[in-house]
Amino acid sequence: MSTDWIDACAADDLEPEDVVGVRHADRHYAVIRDAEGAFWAVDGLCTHQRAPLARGVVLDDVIECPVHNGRFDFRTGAAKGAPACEPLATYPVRVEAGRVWIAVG
Amino acid sequence: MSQAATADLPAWHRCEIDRKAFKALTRRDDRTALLWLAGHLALLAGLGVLAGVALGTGWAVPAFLAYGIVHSFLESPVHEMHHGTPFRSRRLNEALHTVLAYAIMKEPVYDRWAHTFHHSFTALDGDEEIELPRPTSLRQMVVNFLSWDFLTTHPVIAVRHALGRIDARTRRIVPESEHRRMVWSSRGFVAVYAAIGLWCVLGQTWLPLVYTLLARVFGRGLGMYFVGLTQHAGLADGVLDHRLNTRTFLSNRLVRFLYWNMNYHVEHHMFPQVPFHALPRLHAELKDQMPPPYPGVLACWKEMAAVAWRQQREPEYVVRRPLPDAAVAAE
Repeated sequence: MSTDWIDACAADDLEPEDVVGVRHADRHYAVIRDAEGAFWAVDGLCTHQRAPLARGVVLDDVIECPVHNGRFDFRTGAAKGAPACEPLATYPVRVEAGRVWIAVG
Repeated sequence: MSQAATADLPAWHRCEIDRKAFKALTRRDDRTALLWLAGHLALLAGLGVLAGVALGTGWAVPAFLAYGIVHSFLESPVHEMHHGTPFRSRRLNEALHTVLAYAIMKEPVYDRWAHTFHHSFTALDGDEEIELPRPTSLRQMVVNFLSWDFLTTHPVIAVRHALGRIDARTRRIVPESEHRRMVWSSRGFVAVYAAIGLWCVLGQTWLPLVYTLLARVFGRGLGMYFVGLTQHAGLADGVLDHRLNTRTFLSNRLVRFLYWNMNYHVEHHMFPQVPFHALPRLHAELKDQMPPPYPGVLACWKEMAAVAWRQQREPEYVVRRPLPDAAVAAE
């Protein structure tokens, strides 16, 4: 089964503990850089009420929704507490030549 | 039909802010909030001791009133903990959230979801956190000084949930996956107040109730109600811009301390990820995009009273806050 990799952003677009939103084929994704500099990718909309996580806050291993402070572990997608109850999907990430790629299919 | 918790988020207006500046404002640490909370509780304890010493004298009334007012402002840290923003440690946040919510007679699971709903649908159809919906009932405005509305809702809802009775209104706000947690939290709430009642009976004293439940009756009116009603009362409803349906007012250090900077309420609604202690800096960042803040609580009340009076003849009347010229052009 083939995997669709998309060019999400430049690695330098993100400081540590930050997030950027990516749109592809009518889907929203959030690319996150953790405190150690590693990249992660999750669904871009909060599972509670679809607020864009690109406006969220990254704290340790958590991405926090900008509207209701729902929290998700961006490494696993797990919901970490109300009002986030449903998990986020996560996507494989690779970095090549300064670009961050995420596998969306 | 009222909004459901699962309805898509309305497209709320959001002021522009530099991403780096915003990130800096959202940083959290446990120490700041712990110190602030320690100060609040120390003040409460001190006033509690004074009130106890004053029993049997004429000073007891103002002493207990002062205690009740400061007690009512425990709603401020509970509100902050609904958002999970005061502490870096989630465990610390959740533990204190439960304890303090019980202390102010709110069941924390339901109240957090109700508050979430309020942030989604501020002053839109179904927002029950708008304490005095339009047209303002003058009678209700006065009666709420005695916390009648509060006492006939929050603890009643908690008891109902403790019995496992979840009505349509709760189902609209709280997803089913959270019902079990809410029911057990409600049972904890009932157990705490039953224990306080038992303490009164066994100790043959009203004091445990005076310092807890009754403090909500005599303290909330001139405390949290008086200050908190300024948040939205008399402003526009049915709009998707918090600058139009929410107030920010400037105030002295004591009010800002007890209110945990929630006088910066527009800023809080627009950027709820910013912890309370960073709200003054957020206010400074955004002030050119905001209507002018009110100079104080009394200025807010002057406006609210005038609006409430006028709404008796013109139920549709609301205050229209002036937006900065550039913001109006952009609208």
